[in-house]
Amino acid sequence: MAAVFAPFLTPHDPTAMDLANTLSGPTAAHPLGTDNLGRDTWSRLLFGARSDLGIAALAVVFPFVLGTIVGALCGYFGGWCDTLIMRIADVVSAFPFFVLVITLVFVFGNGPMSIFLAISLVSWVSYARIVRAETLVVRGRDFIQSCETGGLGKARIVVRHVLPNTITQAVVFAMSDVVSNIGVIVTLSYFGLGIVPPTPDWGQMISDGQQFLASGNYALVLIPSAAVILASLSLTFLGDGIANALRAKR
Amino acid sequence: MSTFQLAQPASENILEMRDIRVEFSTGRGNDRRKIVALNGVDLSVPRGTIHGLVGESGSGKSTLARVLTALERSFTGTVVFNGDELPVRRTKEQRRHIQMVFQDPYSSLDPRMTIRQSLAELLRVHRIVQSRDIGTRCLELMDQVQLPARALDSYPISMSGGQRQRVAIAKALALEPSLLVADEAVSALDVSVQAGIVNLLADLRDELGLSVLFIAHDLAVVRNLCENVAVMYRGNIVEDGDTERLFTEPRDQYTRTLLSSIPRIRY
Repeated sequence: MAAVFAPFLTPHDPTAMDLANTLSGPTAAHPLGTDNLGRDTWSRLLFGARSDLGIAALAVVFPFVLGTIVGALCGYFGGWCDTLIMRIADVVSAFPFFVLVITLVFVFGNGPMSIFLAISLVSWVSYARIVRAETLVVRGRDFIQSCETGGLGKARIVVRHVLPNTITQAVVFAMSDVVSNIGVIVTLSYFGLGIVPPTPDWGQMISDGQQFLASGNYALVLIPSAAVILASLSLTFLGDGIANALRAKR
Repeated sequence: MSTFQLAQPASENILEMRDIRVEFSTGRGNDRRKIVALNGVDLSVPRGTIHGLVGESGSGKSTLARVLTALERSFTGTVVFNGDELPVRRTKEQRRHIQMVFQDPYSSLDPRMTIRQSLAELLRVHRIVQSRDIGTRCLELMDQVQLPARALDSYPISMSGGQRQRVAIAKALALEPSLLVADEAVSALDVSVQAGIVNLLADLRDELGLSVLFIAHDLAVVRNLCENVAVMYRGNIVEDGDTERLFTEPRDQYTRTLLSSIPRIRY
């Protein structure tokens, strides 16, 4: 929420430098202090949330849609196309997630777009797997067969009967996937592979702040780290809540 | 209660199946084995009657039902329905005339759809009635299967097995079929609920002239309900004929074994 309304909640431009006022503690003007270039930590935190959470959410939507469609079609129709796609999925998931994402980010170059692409190319596999497995279960149930004897078209069966009964699992997974995406994006940015300065981001803030740990200025590392943890935790709880709500409807 | 007109009789039998053969193969390599599920089955169902089909588990009753409803496509032989031979890949219209009620009422309804949605979808897809009449038709269908109108807007999860089976029958009736295949449709229900469904099927036969292929293993129910009975054993129909004659003077050895396996309570 805070991230969405960031421009209204922040007193300072997250990239504006105030070199006369670097590494200050909390003051009335800078509630969380400033960093080594005199940038307001609070502003950077909120705008950082914008870029991190935004890409994390976006990088869930695309694989979710793609994976769900692929999974439902493979599961329902089967055949050689299913075999081929699932073997591709096996190959993708044979590589460790981070190794593959980092490699892809290298290939595409830095920036939010390449993170988005890299995560999408890797994580659609999970959605396809989940939905396909669920579809196989649902397909064998009588109500799908009764749709067939009822003369309903295949497209209608998949969209109206198979998907509503399989998508729950994918939705629940998507919530936890946002959390892991945040981790990925922050990690990539921490290593300087992700979001490029001057766009603020939590990973950069942590790595920038690291150099001042020795001088006793913990805030610059602790504040963005706490933000990562808090954001992840709250999204996890949100995911649990959604999962419960969906389960209750069953 | 509304009734619908059935097509004019094109032949005495609503259904004739000739020399239906289905084989499955299981296992791989050296374990590969062929299982003959149906070994040249012939079956005729006279129009407007309930035809029983009995036999032990694995005798091929359900496979026959799946061939009939085109859920099973790899078979040889011919299915003649209403005087016309049905192809393996059927059109919407060809499917409409043969409807099936499944054994397990807990898995035969889409859990994410209300009863109204399920019925309306079928009515809309097959353009059975004008879209403004869908609501009325849904009410009539509920009335036909003796369910309260308020059940229309509930989800299957809130219904009992017997109610669900009535909904399954309403879904089948929505398409105004000429033949209903009831594959063990009462086997999963309590005895008292069974009676209700069985009576409902008999009423539908009497009122709509519906023909039913009633697959069951409860011989007492079959004896009460069906005009004719076919007995299946290992993929073959070993005996087929008038119910009373078959129960009183069975000709086939297997039929005799089957009949003698009915537990009798002696006082």
